[in-house]
Amino acid sequence: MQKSLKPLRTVSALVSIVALTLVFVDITGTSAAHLGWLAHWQLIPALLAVNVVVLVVLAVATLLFGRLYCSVICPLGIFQDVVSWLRRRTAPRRRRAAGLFRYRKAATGLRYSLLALMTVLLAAGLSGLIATSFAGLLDPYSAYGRIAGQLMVPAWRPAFDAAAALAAENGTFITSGIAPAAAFSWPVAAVAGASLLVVVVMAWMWGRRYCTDICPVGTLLGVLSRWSLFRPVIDTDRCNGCGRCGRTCKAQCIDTRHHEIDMSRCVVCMDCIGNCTQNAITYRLRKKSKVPKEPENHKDHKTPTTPSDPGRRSFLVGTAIAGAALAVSAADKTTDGGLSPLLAKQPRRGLRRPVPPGAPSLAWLTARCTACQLCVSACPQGIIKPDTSAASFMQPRLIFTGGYCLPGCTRCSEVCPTGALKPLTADVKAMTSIGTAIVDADACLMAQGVDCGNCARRCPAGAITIITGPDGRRRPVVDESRCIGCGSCEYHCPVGLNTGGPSAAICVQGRLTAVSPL
Amino acid sequence: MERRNFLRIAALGGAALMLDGCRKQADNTCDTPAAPAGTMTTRTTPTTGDTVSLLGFGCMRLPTVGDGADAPIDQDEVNRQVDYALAHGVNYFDTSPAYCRCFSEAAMGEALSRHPRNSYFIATKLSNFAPSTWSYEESTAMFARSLEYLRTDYIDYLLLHAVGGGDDSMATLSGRYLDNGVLDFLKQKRADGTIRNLGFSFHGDPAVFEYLLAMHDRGEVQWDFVQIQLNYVDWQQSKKENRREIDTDWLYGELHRRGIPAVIMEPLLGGRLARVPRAVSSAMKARRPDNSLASWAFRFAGTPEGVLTVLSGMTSMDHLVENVATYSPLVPIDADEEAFLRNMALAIINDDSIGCTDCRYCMPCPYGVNIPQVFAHYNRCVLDGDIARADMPRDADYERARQAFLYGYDRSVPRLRQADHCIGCGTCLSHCPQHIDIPAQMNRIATYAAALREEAAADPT
Repeated sequence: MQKSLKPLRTVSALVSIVALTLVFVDITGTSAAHLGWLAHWQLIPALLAVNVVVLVVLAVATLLFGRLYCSVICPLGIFQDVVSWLRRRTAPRRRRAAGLFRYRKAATGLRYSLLALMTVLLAAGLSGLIATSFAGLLDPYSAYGRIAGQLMVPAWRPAFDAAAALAAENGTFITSGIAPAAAFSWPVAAVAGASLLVVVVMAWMWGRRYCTDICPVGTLLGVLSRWSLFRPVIDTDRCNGCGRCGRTCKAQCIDTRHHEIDMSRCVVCMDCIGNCTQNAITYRLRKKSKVPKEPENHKDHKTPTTPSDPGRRSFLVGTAIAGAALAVSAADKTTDGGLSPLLAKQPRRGLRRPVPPGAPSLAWLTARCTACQLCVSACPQGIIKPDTSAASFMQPRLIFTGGYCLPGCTRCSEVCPTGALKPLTADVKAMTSIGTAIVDADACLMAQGVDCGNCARRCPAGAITIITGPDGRRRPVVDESRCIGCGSCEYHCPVGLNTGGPSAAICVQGRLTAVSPL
Repeated sequence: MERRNFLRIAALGGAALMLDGCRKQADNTCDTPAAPAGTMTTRTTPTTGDTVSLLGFGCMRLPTVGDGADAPIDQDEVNRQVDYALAHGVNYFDTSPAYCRCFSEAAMGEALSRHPRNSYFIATKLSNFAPSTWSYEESTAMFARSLEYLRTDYIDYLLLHAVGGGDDSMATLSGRYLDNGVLDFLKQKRADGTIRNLGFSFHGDPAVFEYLLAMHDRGEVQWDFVQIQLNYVDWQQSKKENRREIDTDWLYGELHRRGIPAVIMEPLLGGRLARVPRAVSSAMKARRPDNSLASWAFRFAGTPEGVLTVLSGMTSMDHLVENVATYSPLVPIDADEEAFLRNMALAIINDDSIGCTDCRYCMPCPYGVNIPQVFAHYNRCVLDGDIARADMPRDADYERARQAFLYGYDRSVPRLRQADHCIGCGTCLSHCPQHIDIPAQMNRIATYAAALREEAAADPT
């Protein structure tokens, strides 16, 4: 019975991390539709979404069973176990037998400082002082999301495309028919890469030290798990004092000398139970008398590298590259075949970019989004991109140069775990306005006498009409009461893509507050 | 008859020996294309007495290295194809200064110049795309360049390219060839032997066709040959009323009556007749199980005795081998088969596909749309029954059709080159020899794709 606890934990953890990873990396959108709820069980997102049910269940579970969350729910925690497992597998036999870890006293000062920092960042985010995505730098779920979305998806995409092509040749389609543009962003990928480096190095060297010393979610749960009802307990009568449990504990929290386990750090991985040759450790109800004392406060001289502030200032520099303005000559066609070149259309500078539908307002999103990038991964059009400005670092914005927001699609609002994007029905979404199109009449092709009108032709809301203006020129005009800011006009505008530019002649300005039919 | 049988037996014996050799030797031997069973059917021109192969080598879709619109021509493969063609009796090569983004003539020049000049006939054209090339000086320069690129000092067959097109087809004809003295230049070149046969390729407005034949009747110019579109679908289509489409029956009849040989283009309608609706495919296979779908189209086009040669743009060696076999020798379409094809044509016309032949005259679209590829994908879905119409029940078939359309669309055409980027400028309209209302069709496909995309996004499977 006791020995089966570890396999149970391992299997649950693997199922959990695979399922949640699929939500990020399955570019068919199928997993997000069926497993997206998993993200809603993550602590910081649930906190921001004021998801009382989840918070109560997690708190009660931690009070009952300890930091089980860190072992089977948190993807970053499970990921570290995987790294740690690899470390153990590759270690020389003698080194492995001796144990890779040793007991350390809790880095109390550091962990509570970081918890306090997280609290301050969240408070600042919620009160609108800074973007909540800065708090998201310390959120393990969001960090994992960025790693999955920014690093894993691009890495496995070619394999996926090859598999999809093979399946399509045989008449089955393993995508939902949609090929999303890559949502890759260098700044966010760099942040994700930095997180990954810190986590992998720490997990390789010291097991779960990131979780015990740095992660504010772990520290918060540790406050509760200190009192947990069930816990691993060392039977001093059976213990022969070999110290093996202490040397194999990834959380480095078993004080073998005093036969005590620091439950504020223990992630109830159950490794020690199986490792004890004397069967002296059992997971059971705690003894009433032996409430562990708070470990002594001491200075920790070794300050681990923190994952925060990975040089974000360097990313604040705009990345706009002016595309070469190649004029396309329509008249002088001397050959058959060939393709006219496409220019790199840019979003228009100086315009506020819309936030994904579901966010009641820009401020609401800024205050609640931890930048986990799940909406970025989920968008079937690939138009949600992380922002690079300091005011909303890594938080989602809509960029209409490579696609537009399909009026009936609600994927992003369905997957958002923090409530930054509230769920919308397709009907409501189709009528929710997130922005307004603005025409640059001078840049418009119609100003040059080309009878274009593609913006009006492609507008799903019927908000654009072609009129003859007071100056006698034909041009598109936007009915701002009907425009939903979907970006179809900006995407379909030939200016910036085929001629002129660098931006479309009709671009969407995001609203500060969405206009909903409700 | 005895001789033919003997040849056939000899050929079979040779093939058997080859196969035997294959088994014994390395695999490489099998990679060499097999020889056809008989010899290529030929026709003879009345004016110059040329013995021309019934299969003409079209040089509009030469093989390329890799895919994509900018892919360079695969010269080695062109050489191999030309060698095979010449070795198996194909001796008519049809190119133009405009083909393959202007690289066709040079590529053919390189491939053909490796063979004796008297072993093949070259057909090329005075192309007519941009008005900037219409002047007498530009035209004579274009002709001089053709001679240079083709590495020759005479052209066997020279055509006025694609007459009958343009917004005002008569004005285009006059402006391009008649008023500027270009036709007189060509006549003079024929007189001095630089051009051996003079003709025109015809697309579109029958009035222009009549006008040019009237010139011939009046003795103002003698057309040694005329290039027309002929295939079993057009033949059938011409019976319908009020069509601006080419009345193939009439076109051929007018030429035949005057003894002018017809060079046939689009026997396959740009490949559409090599990939037909399923019902048509099964009916054809029921009659001739071992013959390709394309062979029906080639046999049809080659059957009329006034046909000099049937052009086929063969992108791969497989097509060439297959078409050589179809005409070595030609098995003419009999009356029963003609009636059968008439029915098949009806089935093909009545489906929803768009009559694009992938000639790419419309390209490049100034707004970057890959017009032929959009149509090709749409047609592929139509032919496979993968069209999700709004009135269909939302069942598994619908779902499959939707997925098939969207999956292939994004992969065969980059998003920024899809139909929704057509602004309706109409630049392409006057270039389309099939008179497709390209902007209207683009709008239709764009609307269809947008609706499917939205459904797919709302309903991930």
